[in-house]
Amino acid sequence: MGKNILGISAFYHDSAAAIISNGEIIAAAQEERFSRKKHDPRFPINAINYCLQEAFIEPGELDAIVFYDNPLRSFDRIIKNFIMTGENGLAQFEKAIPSILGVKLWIQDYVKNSIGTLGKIDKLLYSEHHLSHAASAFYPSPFDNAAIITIDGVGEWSTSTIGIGNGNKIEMLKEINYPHSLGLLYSAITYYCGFKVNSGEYKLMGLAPYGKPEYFDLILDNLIDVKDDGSYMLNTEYFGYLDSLKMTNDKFNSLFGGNPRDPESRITYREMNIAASIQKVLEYVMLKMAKYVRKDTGMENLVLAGGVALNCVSNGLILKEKIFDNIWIQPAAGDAGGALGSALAINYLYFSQERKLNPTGRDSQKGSYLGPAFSNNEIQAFLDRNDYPYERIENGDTRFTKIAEALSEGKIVGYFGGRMEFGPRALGARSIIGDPRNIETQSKMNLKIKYRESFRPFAPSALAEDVSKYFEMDVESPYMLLVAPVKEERRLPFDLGNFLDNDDDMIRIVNKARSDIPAITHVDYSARVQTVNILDKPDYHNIIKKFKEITGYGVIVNTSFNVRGEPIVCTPLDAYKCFMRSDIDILVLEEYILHKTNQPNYKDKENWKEEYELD
Amino acid sequence: MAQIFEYHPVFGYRFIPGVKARVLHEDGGYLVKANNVGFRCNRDFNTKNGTDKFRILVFGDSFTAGDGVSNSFRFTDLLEKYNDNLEVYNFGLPGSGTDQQYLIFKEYAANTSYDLIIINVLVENIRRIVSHYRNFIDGEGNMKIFMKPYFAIDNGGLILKNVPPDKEPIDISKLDSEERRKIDFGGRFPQLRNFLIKNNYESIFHKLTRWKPYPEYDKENNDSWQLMKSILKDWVSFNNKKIVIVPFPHYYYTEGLSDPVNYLKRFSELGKESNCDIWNPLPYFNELSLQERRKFRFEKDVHPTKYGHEVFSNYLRDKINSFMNNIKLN
Repeated sequence: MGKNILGISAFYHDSAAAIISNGEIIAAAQEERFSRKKHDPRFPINAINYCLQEAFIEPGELDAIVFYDNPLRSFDRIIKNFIMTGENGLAQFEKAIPSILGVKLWIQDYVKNSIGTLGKIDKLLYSEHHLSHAASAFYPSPFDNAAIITIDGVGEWSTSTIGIGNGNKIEMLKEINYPHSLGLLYSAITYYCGFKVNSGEYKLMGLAPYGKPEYFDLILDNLIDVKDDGSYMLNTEYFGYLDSLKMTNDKFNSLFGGNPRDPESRITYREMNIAASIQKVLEYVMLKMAKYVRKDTGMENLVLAGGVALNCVSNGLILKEKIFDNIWIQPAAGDAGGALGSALAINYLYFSQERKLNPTGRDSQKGSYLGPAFSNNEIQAFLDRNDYPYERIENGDTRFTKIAEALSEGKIVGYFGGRMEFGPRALGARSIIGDPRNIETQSKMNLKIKYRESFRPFAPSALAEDVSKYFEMDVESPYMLLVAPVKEERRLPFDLGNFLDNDDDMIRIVNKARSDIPAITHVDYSARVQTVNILDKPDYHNIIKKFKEITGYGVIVNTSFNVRGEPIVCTPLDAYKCFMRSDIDILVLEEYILHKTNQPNYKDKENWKEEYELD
Repeated sequence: MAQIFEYHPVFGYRFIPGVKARVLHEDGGYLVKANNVGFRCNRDFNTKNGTDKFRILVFGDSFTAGDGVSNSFRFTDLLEKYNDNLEVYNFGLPGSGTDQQYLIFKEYAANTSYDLIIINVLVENIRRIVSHYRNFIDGEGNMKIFMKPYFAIDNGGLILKNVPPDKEPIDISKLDSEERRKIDFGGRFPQLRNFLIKNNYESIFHKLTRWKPYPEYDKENNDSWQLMKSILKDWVSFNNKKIVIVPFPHYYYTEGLSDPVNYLKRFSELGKESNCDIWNPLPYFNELSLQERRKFRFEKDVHPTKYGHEVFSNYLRDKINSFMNNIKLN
C-alpha cells in the first residue's frame, strides 16, 4: 500500500518541506517563499502547511515524517572539532552548539507541536544528510540505475559522497569527511571576495568568466591536494571555519595578498581572477571525480545533488566531456532538496516500496513545479479586493501572443503562471522575462528591476526543440543546471582582455554585444540554458513559441521574479509588490494582465529595500 | 496567509469558488475546500434533488462553516457520514450575521429543493445583525473595515441596507460617531477580551463578574432582539414546517459561566409566534461533564473542536431522525 511521507529540512539554511504519496512527488517548497525571509532556516511551518494543503490530507494520514539529517552525528562532529581545535575553537563551538542542543535535538517536539502528530508510526524518522541528497538525485531521475555524487559544504561528517542507485536501492560507497570540503573551499573564497556564504557562491560563478585563473596553481599548491580519483584534502591551516567565526584566516589572506573585499565595495580584477581560479579548481576536481566514478562503478548514468551541484558551469563541463552517457541533477540540489530526498529515502529504503520510473522516459520531478498555484478565481478575488486595474484574456493563444508582442517591443514582463518552482531557479512559473536580442536588457534588468550587480548574467529559456540552434547543446536542460556555449555563428567579435586592460568598469563590458542574443550571452560566450518542453510547461512554451513567430527567435531572457535579496515571489500579492517596486512594465497573473501605466500609486513601506539583505 | 474570501455584492463576501487551502491554527491547521458557488462544502449544489436522499440545508456563521476543523470533521459532514440517506448542504459563512445568512438563503437556496432547513444561530449573532461594518485582516496583517449588509425595521417591515456594499474598505475617519459604533470588532470590549484570552483569565473573569455576555436577550422589547426576531420570522415564513432554528450556545453557557435563561426564553417565544421548531442543544450538552464540555472548544479559539462538532452532530442526528419519522407518520 502506498505511503504518505512528509520530509523536512531545517535549522541550517533554506528550510523546506516535501510530501510524497505512493512514490509520487506531490509538493515541495522552501520556507523562504512563504516567510519572505531569504534562505530562512527556521522550522518550515508554512511549507509543511502548504504540503498538507496540496496533498489535501490530515497530518494523521501521514505514514511517516522524516528529518533530512541526523542531528546526533552533527553533534558528534561539533564536539570532536572542538576537541581538536581546543580553546581556539571556542567561538565556533559556542555558535554551533545552540543550533544543535537548542533546536535540532528537539525537532520531534517542533513537529508534534506544529501539526499535532508524528504520523502513523508515532516517531520522527531521521535520514542522513548525504543520503537525503543522494535520494533526491536518484529517485526522481529517469534512470533505473546510476552513479551518484553528492557534494556540499558539510552534512553531519560528510562533505562529498559517491554511491550507486539501483532500482529502489541506494548504496553509499565512499565519502570525504569534514574538515576537507570542496564546498567549504568554494564558500571560503566566496566570503573572501565579499559575497555571502551559502548564497553568494552563485555570484562568484557568474563573476568567474570576467577573470583569468591566475591563482589556479596557488590554490592547488597551498589549499587543496587533489588526488587522481578526485578525492582531496584541504590544508586546514588556511581556513578559519574550524576555530573561528570566519571562513578564512590571516594566513589565507596573506596568500592572496590582502584582506577580504568589503561587500559593498567595487569588484576589482583581483576578485575576478580569484573567482576564475576557484571555478577552474572546482571543475578540475569534479572532472577527476566524475571520471573515477564512471570507471569505478561502470554506470552509464550520473546523478548529482548537494549545493555544489548547482554549479552549472562545472555540470556543463562534465556533460561536454561525455564522461557519462546521461546526467540528471536535482534542481533543488541544496539543503532544501534534502526534504524531498529524505521523504523518498524513507519510502524506498525504510518502507521498501516498489520504484516505478516515469513511463514517458522523462524524470519524475514534474518540471520542479511543485509549489503553490493560484486559480483565476483567487487572482481575480485579489485584484478586485484591491481594485487593481487589469485586463483578463481567457483565450490562451491571444494572451500568449500579447505577451510575446510586448517582449518583442522591449517590454519587461513579470510572469506568474502555474505552480511555483521548487529549488533556487525560476523556470517560467515565477519569472521576469525579456527580449534577449536587446542589448540593454541585461543592464536594465539588473539595475532597474533586480537592483543587483550589473555583471550578473541572465539565463535563456529556449524551446527544447530549438536549443541546438542557439547553443552548443543537444540535450535538454529543463532546470537551468547546465551551461553551454552560444553557437559559434551567433557570436560577435569581443575581446574581454581589451576591456579589462582599460579599466574594470563592468557596465561597459556588459553593454557590449557579444552575440545576436546579447542579453543572455555571458562574457565568455556561455549561457546558463533552460530548455522548455511543452510537456513540462505548456504556457511558458507557448509564449516563447509566439515570440519566435514574431521575431524568429525561439529564446527569451528568464530571471527569477524577485528583487535583490528577496525570495522569489510566491503569491499574487508578492508578485504585485515586486511589480510595483521595480521597472517591470507588465505583470501577468495567469489570465490577468496588468500594465504598470494603469496602476494606482502604490503606497509602499519606505524602507522595503532594507527588508532584503544583499547576498 | 492566502486569501480565501472574495467580495460578494449581496452578502458582502464569500469563499473564493473552488478554493482549497489549509489554514494554520492553534491545533495545527485545517483543510478548507469551497464549492463552485463559494461555500465550504465538498460538493457543488444542485437546485433539484434528483435522489431519494433527505436534503438538509444548513445556515450559520463560522461555527457552521467549521473554522478550526477540516470540512470532513464538521457536524454537517458527520451527519452525512453516519447516515447514507442524508445530503447536507453547508451554507455557513464565517463572521456573518443572521442577516447575511438570510440573504444567502434568498440568493442561493430559496429555489433549491430541500426537506429541512436548519438555521444555526450562534447567540452572538444578535450583535452582528445590528452592525453596519465589519473588520477584516488582510494578507499583510492589516485591519481593514468593510461595509456589511444589514436590515433595519421600518413600519414593521425589514428594509435592506448597504447592498451592494462598497468593494473598497471604508475610511473610519469619515464616519460620524453614531456610525462608528456600528463597527463590529467581534464583540464588546475587544481589548479586554484579547487580554483575558491571552492570559487564560477569561473563565475566571466571567465567573467572578457573573458575566452577561448578551444583555440584548434580557428583554423582549430590546431593539436588537426585535431585529433578530423579524429576520428569523421573515425567513421562517418561507416554510415554517420545514425550517428549524437552533440557538447555538456560546461557551459561556455550555461551561456554566453565564445564565442562558434569557436567550432561551426569547427563542422559545419566537418558536411559538412563528410556529416553528426551536431545537435547543444545551440540555443535551449539559448531560456531559464540565470537563467534557470544555473540550468542545480549543484552548484559545472558541470555535468547536472536532469533538464539539461530533457531539453537536449526535444531537442533531436524533432530532433529524425524529423529524423524518414525524414526516412519515404524517
